[in-house]
Amino acid sequence: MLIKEFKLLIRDRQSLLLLFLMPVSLILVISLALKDVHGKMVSNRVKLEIVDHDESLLSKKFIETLKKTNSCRIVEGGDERKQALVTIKKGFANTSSLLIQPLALDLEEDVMLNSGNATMDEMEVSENSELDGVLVFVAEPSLEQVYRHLIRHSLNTALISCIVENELETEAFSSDSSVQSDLTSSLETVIKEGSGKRQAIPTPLQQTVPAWAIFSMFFIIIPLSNSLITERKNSLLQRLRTYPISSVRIILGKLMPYYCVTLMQFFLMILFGFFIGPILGVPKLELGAHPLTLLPITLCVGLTATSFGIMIANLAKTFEQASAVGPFAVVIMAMMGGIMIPIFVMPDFMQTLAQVSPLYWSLEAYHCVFISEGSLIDVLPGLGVLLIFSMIFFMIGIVSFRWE
Amino acid sequence: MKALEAIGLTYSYPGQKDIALKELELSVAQGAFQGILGPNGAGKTTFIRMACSLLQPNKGHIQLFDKDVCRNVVSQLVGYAPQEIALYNHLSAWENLQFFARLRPGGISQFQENMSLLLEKVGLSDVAHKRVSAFSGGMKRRLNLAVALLHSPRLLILDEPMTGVDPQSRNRILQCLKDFHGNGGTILYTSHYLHEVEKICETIAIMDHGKTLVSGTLAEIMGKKKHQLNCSFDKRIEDNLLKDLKSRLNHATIKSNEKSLTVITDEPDSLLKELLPLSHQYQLTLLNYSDNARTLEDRFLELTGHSLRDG
Repeated sequence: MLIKEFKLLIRDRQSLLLLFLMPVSLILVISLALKDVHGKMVSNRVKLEIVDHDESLLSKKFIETLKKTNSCRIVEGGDERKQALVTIKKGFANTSSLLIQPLALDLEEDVMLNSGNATMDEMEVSENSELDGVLVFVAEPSLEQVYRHLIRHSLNTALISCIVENELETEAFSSDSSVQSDLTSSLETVIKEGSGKRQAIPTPLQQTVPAWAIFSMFFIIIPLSNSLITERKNSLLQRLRTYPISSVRIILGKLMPYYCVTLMQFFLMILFGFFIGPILGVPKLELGAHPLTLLPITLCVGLTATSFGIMIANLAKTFEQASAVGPFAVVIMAMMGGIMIPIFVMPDFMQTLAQVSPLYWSLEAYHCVFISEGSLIDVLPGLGVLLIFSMIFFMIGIVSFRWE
Repeated sequence: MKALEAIGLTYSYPGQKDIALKELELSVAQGAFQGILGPNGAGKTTFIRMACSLLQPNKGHIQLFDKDVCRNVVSQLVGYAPQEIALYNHLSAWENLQFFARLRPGGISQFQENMSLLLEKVGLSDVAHKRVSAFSGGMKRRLNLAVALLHSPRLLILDEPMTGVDPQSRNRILQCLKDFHGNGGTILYTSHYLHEVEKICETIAIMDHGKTLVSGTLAEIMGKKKHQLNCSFDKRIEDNLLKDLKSRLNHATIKSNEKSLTVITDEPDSLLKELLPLSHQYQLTLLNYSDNARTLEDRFLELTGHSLRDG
């Protein structure tokens, strides 16, 4: 069964061409399109405006430290159109909560971002803002998540650096054991987040390779359903039913070669990112700190994609149905799952709804490795979800299998 | 021992009002070359699918060589060639046979010799390693048959095996079937080609509306009434003349249509003897008269009617 399926697949050159050319083309075109965005980031073209209402020694030191991070172009109190805004409120240097709640700025940012579709101008934060905290970070909703992560990371780093330096100078907290303990704990958290999982600027290929490779892997439904439906239409399955062979064996035999193709698709895209991308002027694909983690992720994503194909092939009565419903479902799942539209620009309910898309979990797992430098342990929950998806799709495929 | 015995088979497709098989009865002797005829929708393919364990009857049962039909029995005893060409187009003839051989217990090694022999028999040895997609319709049909014969089944079930086949391929297929039958194999053969069935099948069953209308040897099916007499007159045939004629020719089947008369009988002379005085009495002039030997097609149309079966 396997030999036959491999032979059939290898000889179906048009389908193979589609399966490998599509992701290459998508990745190439989108990476080249994003090349300039990347260039802007490298040259610190993301603007961060800082309004300092505190004007203390500490706040000035904080701004200087922030400038040294070189993560963005810092504008102090200018009137340029901003992409991100940091407001240092009065009392920045005196608030004890600053010492123990440096992470509060994350919360405040979320509060601002969730205040509706407000523009940057509408979200101007003044000294009298109702928001708590002494340091407020606001980003334009259109600013990509990765850049916001980057700014937040820089703010954390600068803040910690200032606090530590300041406290070492004054030794004000050394006698208060509870404050010392809280600070130590907060710093550990911040340092762990800041250095343990580097928030690097993703290259265009780090964004496009996983996204479009996943998208293309799910397009395996077209040749897979074509193959199964053709066998049904030509009475081959009917003939096979007069042989001592089970439907599960037929489905597994069908699944395996296409599963291999999905794996090859992904690793071909990796090779493309490594070798062809730089030739075309796109920065080389960086695989993160745990590149081997890509293997289990790809095994799970490929299994989910082929199981989905098996389900579509068995549910569809004709090839026309499969080739209309299948790609439509993949495109919808891709949109929901953040392949085409970044998750963060979606409203809350859509961000929750995204989790019903297997493509969301696939992309999250790859991003965890590429961008957040996650290890196998970090991606395991996501892989578990993908395996559950695979099992559901496969079971539906088995149950709905028809010999004729 | 019967090769196939169907008793009271009843089946309705899910969601369909019409009954596909109604208490169908059919018995095929071991070693028989059984033809099954019927118009479209008669239930031939449903019956064949049931014989291959592809469908389970709602009522009744079917046995192959005294064993109730199940997948295991079918896979051992039956060679099935569906109406469609059930082959892999991207594989060669040899690879197709290899694939189907692999699925059988014993694998390729057990069937290696048979594969070569079958390709020789169906005339595809020279193109054994050519892809099926490059084959003509006739070549594909021959390979379709070869696959069904691969494991030397005891019963060969063929659903319209000659569809779209050129005379050369047809001859080769017929020769293969004769060889198989000559070696003691039983064949169940459905076809629309009445002349062909008449020529090659020893026993024939005519089905319609899910029932077996008649079954037996060709002679048994044709009955004694071997003559079909056609007469045409200058005027419309009156009902009274028809009534008188029917009373005088008790054993004949008489049908009239305006000015023409069809009489099926085993005594052609008696018709003229009775008809001529009657036509004179009713002031009709006989314009044409012909005496034709009845064919299976005549009998088929007589049993199943002349209305079209497009549904």
